[in-house]
Amino acid sequence: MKRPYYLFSSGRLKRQHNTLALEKTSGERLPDDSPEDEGVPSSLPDGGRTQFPIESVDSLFLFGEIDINSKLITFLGQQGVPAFFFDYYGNYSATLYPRENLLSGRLRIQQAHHYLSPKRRLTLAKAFVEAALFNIERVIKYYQPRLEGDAQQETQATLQALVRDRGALPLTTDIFTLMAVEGRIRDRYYKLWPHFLGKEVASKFPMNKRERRPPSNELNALISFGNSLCYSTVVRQIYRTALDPTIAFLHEPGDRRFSLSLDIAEIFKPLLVDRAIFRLLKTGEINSKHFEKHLGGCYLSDAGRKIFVQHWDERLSKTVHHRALDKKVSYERLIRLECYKLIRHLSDPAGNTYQGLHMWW
Amino acid sequence: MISKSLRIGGMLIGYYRLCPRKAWWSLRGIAMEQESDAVALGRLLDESSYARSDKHLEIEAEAPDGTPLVGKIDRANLKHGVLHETKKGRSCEDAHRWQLRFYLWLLYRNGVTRADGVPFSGQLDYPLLRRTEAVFLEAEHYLELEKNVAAISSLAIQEIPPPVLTQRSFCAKCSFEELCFG
Repeated sequence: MKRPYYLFSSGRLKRQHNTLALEKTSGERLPDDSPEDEGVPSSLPDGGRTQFPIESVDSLFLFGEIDINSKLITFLGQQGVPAFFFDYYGNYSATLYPRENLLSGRLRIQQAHHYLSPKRRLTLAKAFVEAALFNIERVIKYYQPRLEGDAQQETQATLQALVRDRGALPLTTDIFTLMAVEGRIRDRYYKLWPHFLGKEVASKFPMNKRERRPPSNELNALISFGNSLCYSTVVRQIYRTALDPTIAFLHEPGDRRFSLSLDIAEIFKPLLVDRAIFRLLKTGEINSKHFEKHLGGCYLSDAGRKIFVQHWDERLSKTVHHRALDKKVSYERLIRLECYKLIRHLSDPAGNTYQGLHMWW
Repeated sequence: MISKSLRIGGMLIGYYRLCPRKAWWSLRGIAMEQESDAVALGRLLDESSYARSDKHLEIEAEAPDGTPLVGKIDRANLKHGVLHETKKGRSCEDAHRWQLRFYLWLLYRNGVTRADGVPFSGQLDYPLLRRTEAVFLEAEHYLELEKNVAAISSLAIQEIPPPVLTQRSFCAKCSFEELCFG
């Protein structure tokens, strides 16, 4: 059974006898954006070494300072293992995406066709926003019964706005408006977070609004980190299908290199990222000591990232019963199924119209 | 345009006999078998069994309508005139028979027979079950194979996929199940 590997240590990752080895360094990692940086490793290997069998590696998440060479890149390419790199602050920085091995020319043409035709593109873009809003609604409804007084009223008002906007989506005629609707609902949804988190947690972690690059406070740091995990998890699922990760519908191709991943991630953020944040803060697993301030931004510390990633990995393997398949599927597999639904739509838009995942549990 | 470059192989015939939709995905270059443990096991079985035979012969032929045909034969006993096809289990037995008949047909179309003029025969091998089954190409099969080839050729230029099978139980073991129903 292949699984993602999350490496927090720094060191040299290498191919060794047809498998992977990490020669660890023990010194402290230095920020990788200092102007006088010479590009040499922050510290040297100290003899510690971990090996892991390539057959069990689905993908690599590299949070430490990692040295690699082209032998390793070739090896990972042969084995079809994508690697995701994160910078000193835990921001997603790059993907090493092995050469595509599941290409389908006809499907790629269909995908481009659905992007180029404004009507077809809008249909798909709407489906992504519709499902994202639906899942936000599910999260809100989960917390709503426990709220009282003003919090209850405010939540009710947001829900009404959400349902109204979601209902009006079919009338939307352009992508820009679609993005604006989603942004507006998300802003109102973030304002409810203090209610969901409860007074005690909310007093420690205020949420005003979403601010990125750099994240302005703890909650923004968690959202940014969670979103980048979600993005790379989707990339890794798209890689296992014949879809072209660069052609998106809601986002512009070029917003990021793998913009299709941004489209699909919208649907999964509420159930994967947002709920993970609530859980980690409410249980106190992540608290004030897990954050660091750098250059006017707030970031999760190394220890905080480890806690988040561990919970993330557990969350991805949670299962729900899938009615059409009549079997249990993991949250992560749901992302793959979303890719398949998209392939069905691209192949037969009238007979297999895409509808984004609606949480049914 | 596609039909010109189309070469129909034995696996495609097997797919088509099982489920036209599966054949359509395959014609589109959409593969799902890379995920399947059963297929990985099958490949390993092919590599590890019958080490002493002539393995992996490739034959080409043309259908009566001119469609290029290609067969990748697991192994053959040329002296006795037997083509072998190794399979893991019997769940798609009918498709297996047709795959093998297709290979025999390729030889027939090329006018290849045993040294004594007797046509080749086929044998399905199930090493895990320790069973074999003889397969023969009869005159009535020619027309059926011809029809299948023609149907696959038109499937290749069909814009949308054929519907899913009405009998869902067939799909439970198929590596395309999630693509069709997920």
